[in-house]
Amino acid sequence: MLEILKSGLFSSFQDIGRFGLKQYGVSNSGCQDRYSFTFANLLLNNDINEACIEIVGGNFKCKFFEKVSIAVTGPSEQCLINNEKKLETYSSAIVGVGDVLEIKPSKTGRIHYLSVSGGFDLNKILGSYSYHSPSSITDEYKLKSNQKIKFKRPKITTPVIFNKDFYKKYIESKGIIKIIYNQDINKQLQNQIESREYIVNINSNRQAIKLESDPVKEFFKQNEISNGVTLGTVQIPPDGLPIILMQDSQTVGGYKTIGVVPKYQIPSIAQIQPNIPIKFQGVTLSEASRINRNINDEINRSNFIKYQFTELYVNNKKISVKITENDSIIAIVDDDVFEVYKEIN
Amino acid sequence: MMMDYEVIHHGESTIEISLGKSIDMKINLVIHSFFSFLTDNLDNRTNYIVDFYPTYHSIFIDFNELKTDFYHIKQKIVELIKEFEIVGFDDNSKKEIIEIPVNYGGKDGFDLEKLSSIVGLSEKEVIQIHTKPLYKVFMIGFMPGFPYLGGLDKRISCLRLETPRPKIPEGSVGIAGDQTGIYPFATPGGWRIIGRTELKLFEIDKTPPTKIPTGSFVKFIEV
Repeated sequence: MLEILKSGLFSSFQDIGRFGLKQYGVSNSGCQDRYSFTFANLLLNNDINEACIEIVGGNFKCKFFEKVSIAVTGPSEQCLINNEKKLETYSSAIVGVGDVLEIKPSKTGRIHYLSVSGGFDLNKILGSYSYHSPSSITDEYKLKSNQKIKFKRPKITTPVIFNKDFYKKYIESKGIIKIIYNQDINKQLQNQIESREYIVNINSNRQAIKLESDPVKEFFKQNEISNGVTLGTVQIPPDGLPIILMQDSQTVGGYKTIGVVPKYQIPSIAQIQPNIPIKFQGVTLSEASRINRNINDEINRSNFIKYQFTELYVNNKKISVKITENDSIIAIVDDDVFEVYKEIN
Repeated sequence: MMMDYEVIHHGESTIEISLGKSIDMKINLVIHSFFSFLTDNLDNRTNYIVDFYPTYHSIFIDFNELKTDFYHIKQKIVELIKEFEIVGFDDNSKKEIIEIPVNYGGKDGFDLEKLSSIVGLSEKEVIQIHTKPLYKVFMIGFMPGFPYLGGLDKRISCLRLETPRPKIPEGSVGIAGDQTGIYPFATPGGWRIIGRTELKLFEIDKTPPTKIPTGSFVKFIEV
């Protein structure tokens, strides 16, 4: 079990999403940064779709009531255990009774995922563990301070770390949002969209990322007949300021749509900080598909470096031996750390 | 019957089959008939469909873009449409009528008085006109279980509020332009509220979770 001490700006349970219910008006919901979510489960050998806590904006604190392996993924700064020990993101660790995990607001992103080995003990709603923010059907998945959450099958797994370049390479914003334009959007309009610099509006949420800039002119003064929209759809309302639809968006919308942001860019958009300038850049359907598949292959091939813990008892004294990230061997006795020298023959 | 359609991509993982851009009873009937056909046939033949649903004039299909791509799906859709054209569409497929009891006016229908004066009718006349037609559920959207109903009598059509209200109670029945609808959940909204129903429109433990499925018909009853 864990207790939420500080739920932060917005924390909720999420899995990969809720599918097959759009005919009933239920959007897919699910994790906003699919890559970091996937790694949170891979790091613990969990089921790939096990529910994680999605923490938006940091300021999150929780206390553990039993020994379990956990993993944190998201922006690459470190998190703190018991206000002193640092936990790298994209790595797993073992926490014990009374340990407190703190996730601070980040400078390079907005969203973290916290997973526990064996998963949280929850009941599915309409086939998924994802919080759906626009309705009240999943209110129990939104986290509040002082809430206690049970674990399903708490396990201890070998602590591992994943190469953090992945976040820098594919998730951290580079100031560019790719867009696959709709077939009816002409070059002139594309130029209008691409010449502007945007920043993310502070009122963005799980339904939509709102952008601010000079409005796109002489365009779309009228709303259209409401029609289907999808994850990443870019709408231009009559005020001329683009909106990118996210996981909790409505299933239909009445604003003019100009295109769709490719799947592989959604995590990056979800992680963009409000103050970072961004521009749109067109990409073809086939190029976007190719990049998407390449990144997915890279995740499937992902290599974790293992921190192998070995515990020895010498004269009733416990000695833990650990291989660090840079391959040196250390021994921990009574909380003191010693470097171990390999004998060279 | 030949279907005049267009296949459009929306990014790497969504495909739209569009029958034109209008709100039209006939087009929507074909859409719902084709949607039923897809429900029976799509899953059996593919293992990459994630979600699909009808709108006023289109079917949207989301697929797993790692297992297939737009061009392959498009080809599959064209084959299915050819079969559908041979089978023909069945306009009796969804003649289900759902009766919705409504408390009109008063604190449940707080905009009825204003709406009546805007359209120049008495409250009683507005209620009579609103309870008369059989409304077609053109699509579900905006929020879980929210039906977009077609067939509102033009005499009581009325523009939506300029500034949406921060909270509309669950079950509220409203009018916006030529449309009428019911809010399954409390939410901000700009429709003019003329009444409220006690019926639960969306329940998570029911299959399907919506009381009013897409393609069915709705009849309002004054209580």
